[in-house]
Amino acid sequence: MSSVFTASFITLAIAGIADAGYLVWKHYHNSSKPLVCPLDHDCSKVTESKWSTIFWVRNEVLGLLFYVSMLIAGLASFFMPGLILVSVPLILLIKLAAGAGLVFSLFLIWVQIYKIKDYCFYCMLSALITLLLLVNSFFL
Amino acid sequence: MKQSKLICDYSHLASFMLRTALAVPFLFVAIDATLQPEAWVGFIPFFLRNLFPETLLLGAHAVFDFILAVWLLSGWKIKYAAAFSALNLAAIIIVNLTALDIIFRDVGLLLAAIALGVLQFKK
Repeated sequence: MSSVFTASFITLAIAGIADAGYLVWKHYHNSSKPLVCPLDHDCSKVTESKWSTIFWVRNEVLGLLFYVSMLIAGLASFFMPGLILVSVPLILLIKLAAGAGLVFSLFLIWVQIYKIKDYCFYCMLSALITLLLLVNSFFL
Repeated sequence: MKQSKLICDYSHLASFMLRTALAVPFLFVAIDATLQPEAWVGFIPFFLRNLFPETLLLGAHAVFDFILAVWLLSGWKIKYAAAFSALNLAAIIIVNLTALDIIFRDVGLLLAAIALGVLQFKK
């Protein structure tokens, strides 16, 4: 395993935590002020739409849990190489989880384009980070 | 009027891109220097290695880079984060001038840090 790719995987996971964490923080602790979008765009139309939750859990919370689990898995793959969880190698689990994350991100992009007809910068950024995590997972 | 509106609209994006461009390498260095210190210890100048243990210097720099990355991503008092980033990068370039073929990318990052500082100067 290449530790350079482990470092880049962990870097991406932390970037994802920052992205999703900002959305969670804004929603639960600082919702009186609008999201600061780098594109000067109103993201709240997306983040506060009816599509903002799935199975009663907000998407940004799911994203935060996903990135935290990716961070833990990345660290575990470095410090415990060859770790097997429930008969499945950790590296395979990371690939499957990153793939599932990307499918969910693509679904959310589809929702933004065809249902909400608007976009959220941080959601797009999250999809990009998830794509990079999946690509990176093949080099772990 | 139209031009100033355009600059105003895209200054947030430019700032975000510059902050990310600086934060990601800082994060990567902090993490990689922790995971494989032997790959980074060569960038610490000899005079410092004679004064302090290598692991201490590398660990301290990794923590500093991590804090800088989080600070840049947070968006809080960015001009100061940009100043610290520029000083950090300038120090790295100066003490590693003999390895210019490797650290020439840091010159680009240094200019990005200065650009971020200039962009935020009057804010």
